[in-house]
Amino acid sequence: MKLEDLKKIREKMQSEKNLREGKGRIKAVVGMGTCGIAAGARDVLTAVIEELEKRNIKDVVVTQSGCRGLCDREPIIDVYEDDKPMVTYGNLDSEKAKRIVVEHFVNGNIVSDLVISTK
Amino acid sequence: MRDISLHLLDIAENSVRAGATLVKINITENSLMNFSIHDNGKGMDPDEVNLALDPFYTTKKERKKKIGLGLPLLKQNVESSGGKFCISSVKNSGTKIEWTMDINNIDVLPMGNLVQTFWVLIVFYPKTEFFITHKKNNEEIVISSLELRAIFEDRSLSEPGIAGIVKQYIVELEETLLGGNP
Repeated sequence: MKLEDLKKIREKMQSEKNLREGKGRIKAVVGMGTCGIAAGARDVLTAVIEELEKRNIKDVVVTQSGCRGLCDREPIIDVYEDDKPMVTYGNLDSEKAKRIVVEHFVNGNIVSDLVISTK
Repeated sequence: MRDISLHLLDIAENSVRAGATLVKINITENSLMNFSIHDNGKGMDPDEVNLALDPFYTTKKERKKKIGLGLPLLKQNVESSGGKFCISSVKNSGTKIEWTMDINNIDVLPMGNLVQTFWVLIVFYPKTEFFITHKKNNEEIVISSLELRAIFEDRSLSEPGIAGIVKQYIVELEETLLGGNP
C-alpha cells in the first residue's frame, strides 16, 4: 500500500460528518501515561479500535490522555456519553476492552464488574 | 516497561506533554542499534534534565507519589546492557534523547511491536506531527503523519475505518525492511 493507494481510498469515502472533532455518540479516553503504557494501554487502545472496526461502529470517538493519577488501576478507559455520568473502567486488558465495546458501546449496558468509578 | 517500542511510546508521550508540535524519531538497526527522539517542545534546563533522570521526580501533577520511572529505567537498562544513553535539552527549544544498544548483548531489551507504537503516535496524537525514519538491511522507510493527515484531510486518522487502514499502511512499510538479509 502506497500513499497513492491511500489517496484512492480517501476519495472513495463518503463525506460522513458524524465523527468530526469529538462529535461521536460516545467518547472513550484511554490513559497513556507511563503507568498506562507499562500496564498495557497500547494493547487496550488497539483492541478497542479493532473491535469497533470489526463491528463497523462509526459513532465512537477514541482518544488518549496522560496520567490520570490512578496509576495502580491502569490500563484505564474513561467513557463519556451525553447526559450520562462518566464511567471509568480499570485494570483492563485487550479482552476486557473488547467486552466494553460490545456490552457498553453496542448494547448500551455498563460492564459493572470492570467499573472502578462513575461520576 | 517490557520492550523498546513501549519506551519509545513513553518518551514520545513526554514530548507531546512538553508541547512539541514535531517529534522526529530515528531508528537504525545494524549490529549496533541507534535510536533518537528529537522534539521541539519546551525543553529543560540542566537541573531539570538531571531531575528527569531521577526516578523520584515527575512533572505529572496528577501523581500523589512523585515518581517518574520512564526515562531512568530506560537509561539503566541501556547502560547495563553495554549501550550509551544521552539526553540533551535546550530550554524553550526542545529535547533530544539518543541511545545505542548492542543487539548481541544478552541483556538487551527486545524491540517489541514498533508498528503498534508508530500507529498509536500517528493516529491518536492529532496535535503533534511525527516524522519517523527506520533503517534496517540497507532499506529505509519514512512515516510522516503530516503526509497521512494531508491525504485524509478533514477526517481524523483515529476514526474507526481510517485507523485500520493507516495501520495496514505502516505494517506493509515495516515489512519492506524484512527483505534483504533475513
